[in-house]
Amino acid sequence: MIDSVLRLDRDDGRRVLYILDRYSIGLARALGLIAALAFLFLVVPEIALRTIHLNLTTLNKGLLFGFAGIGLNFFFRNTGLVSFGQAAFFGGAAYFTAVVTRDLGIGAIAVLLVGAILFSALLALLIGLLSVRHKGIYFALLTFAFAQMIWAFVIRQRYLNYSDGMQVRLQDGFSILGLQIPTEHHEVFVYYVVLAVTLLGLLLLYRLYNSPFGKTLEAIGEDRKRVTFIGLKPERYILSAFTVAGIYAGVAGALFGIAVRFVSPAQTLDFFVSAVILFAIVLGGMRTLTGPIVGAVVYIFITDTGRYYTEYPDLLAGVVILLIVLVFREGIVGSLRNIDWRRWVP
Amino acid sequence: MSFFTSAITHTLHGLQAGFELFLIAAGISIILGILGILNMAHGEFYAIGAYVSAYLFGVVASTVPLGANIFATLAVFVLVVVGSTLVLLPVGAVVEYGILRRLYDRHEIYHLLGTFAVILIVTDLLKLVFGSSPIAAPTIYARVNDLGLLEPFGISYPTYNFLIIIASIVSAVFVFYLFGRTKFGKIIRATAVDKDMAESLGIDVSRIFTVVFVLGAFFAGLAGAMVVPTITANLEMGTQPLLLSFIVIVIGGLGNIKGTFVAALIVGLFSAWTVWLYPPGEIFVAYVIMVVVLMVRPEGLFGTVGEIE
Repeated sequence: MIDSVLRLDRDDGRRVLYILDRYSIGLARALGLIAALAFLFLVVPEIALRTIHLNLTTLNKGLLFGFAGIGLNFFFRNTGLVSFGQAAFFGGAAYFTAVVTRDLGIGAIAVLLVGAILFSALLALLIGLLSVRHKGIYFALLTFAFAQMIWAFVIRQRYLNYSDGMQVRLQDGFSILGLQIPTEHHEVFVYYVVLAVTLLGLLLLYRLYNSPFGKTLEAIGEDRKRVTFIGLKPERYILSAFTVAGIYAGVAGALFGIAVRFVSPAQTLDFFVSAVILFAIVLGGMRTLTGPIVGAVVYIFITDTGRYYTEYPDLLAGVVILLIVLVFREGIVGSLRNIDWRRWVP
Repeated sequence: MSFFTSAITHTLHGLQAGFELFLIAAGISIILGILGILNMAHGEFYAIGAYVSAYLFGVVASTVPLGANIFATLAVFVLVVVGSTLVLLPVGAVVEYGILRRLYDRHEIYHLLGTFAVILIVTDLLKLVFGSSPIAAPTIYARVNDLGLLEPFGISYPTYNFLIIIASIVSAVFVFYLFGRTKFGKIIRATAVDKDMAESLGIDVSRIFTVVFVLGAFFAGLAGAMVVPTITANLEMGTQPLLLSFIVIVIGGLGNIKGTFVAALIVGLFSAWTVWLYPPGEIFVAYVIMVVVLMVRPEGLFGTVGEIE
């Protein structure tokens, strides 16, 4: 019986090849993708269990900053506008999640994520409406100011425990799609949730880049005036893209609160958070889809885990950033992709 | 304390903060206007000035017997502040020459990232040199305050802080003189308006860039060197002035020194008055002013984008 399940006839084979062809993925790349997924889902948690050098919480943090980064990259790459205030959505949604868990006792991650999406979308629409008229460095500074205002608001609220931050904990732990997460395995489960959400987010973004909406945005980035001549309203598209970026940052922030089980202004609303989300794009490579995730994971790994090896992890991070800015200009993923690997294979 | 005297005290606090802010923001503003780079590392120049002067003040306090002699004390103040600010000249030159020079013709996200890396590096270098615990200069602060210059007028305001105001006014006048009245200032303004034209007139633009950046670093360092006896030098001290300077240059109009000056005073005074009348609003007020200005006049109060006036 197993035989009949596993047996693929020629039609099935053709179908697989057809699907691969449709998404213009070569067979080698498809196998590479499967290997990478297997590594991420099966090998990484095993490594993390056996060594202190790789910590799943650190990895979760990196992935989530990266998740906010891919959303921002969709906005930045297409419009050329730099948002220096993603912490507003990241931290805003993180605090929103913390409050919902504390006051309503909701531990279902799916519900929390839907809430975070709605919350950050509304916030992004509001901030976006007030900002998209502005260009260049003004847009950056305006988004930055809004994020700082939210920071200033939060650290004065008794309800949000001032600048000390809030626990994100429940008596019986969180649940995902009806499955209760045992508290002692919280990290691993959240890691899987983060991975799944990240993959889903990447897939969605891939479709978005290639949708008419994405193409219009690209045109706006190249020449805003001409797009206006066609009869479209660039501001509306830019606002939508900004909202997409806001939702990505919001989902990341909500999961961050759940992953770390703690939210604080310093970790989620600080201007350094906006900076890391923005710079992950450049570190990983802005012309790549997955680059921001790699960039954020590397950066968080250096500054978090680096603490155990050196007293000066920031110095190390600074030098790495300079190397990427000055030498490997396409970012980590971009530079790796530019290497002609076939030269090394006989 | 009557309403009147506390109004004066808080206004003086606001003036001090405003002038200090001007010294930092003016550098960011001029660098943005001419080099086209928003220098995120500017707060670290302020921190470097603060650390070096805290260190020097400490050395001086333990070696030189400071009497209540007003001239000796003033001489020490000026020497230490100027001495520690000189450190910023090579630092600024290295950053401009080594890093920024390679970023001019690239997207602004690289400017932000490159100078952000400088923040990280400088912070850890300060930690390496001076240790991670904050350092203070209490002796000199107490000595200067013993002079009690403002006591006769019934105003309770530390003499040292008053000195900061005086020194900042002198520096601000110097900045305006330099840019408004000298040939050097004219060259810089011309470069800001049109780099290619300036170059074709025989101006060495890349040297102007270095000089402008070093000057900017110098004034930020000066602000840090002066402020240190009133606060402790610590590793995070660069962030808040940087963020406030962003606000100031946006309110004043990017790259406009006059606007920066007015905006710095507005932010300084309104913050001080808010601390006095409605303490919870303190950290809010600057951002609120900025957003209101941007909504009403997106180009800032004195906005003439790209021009230095």
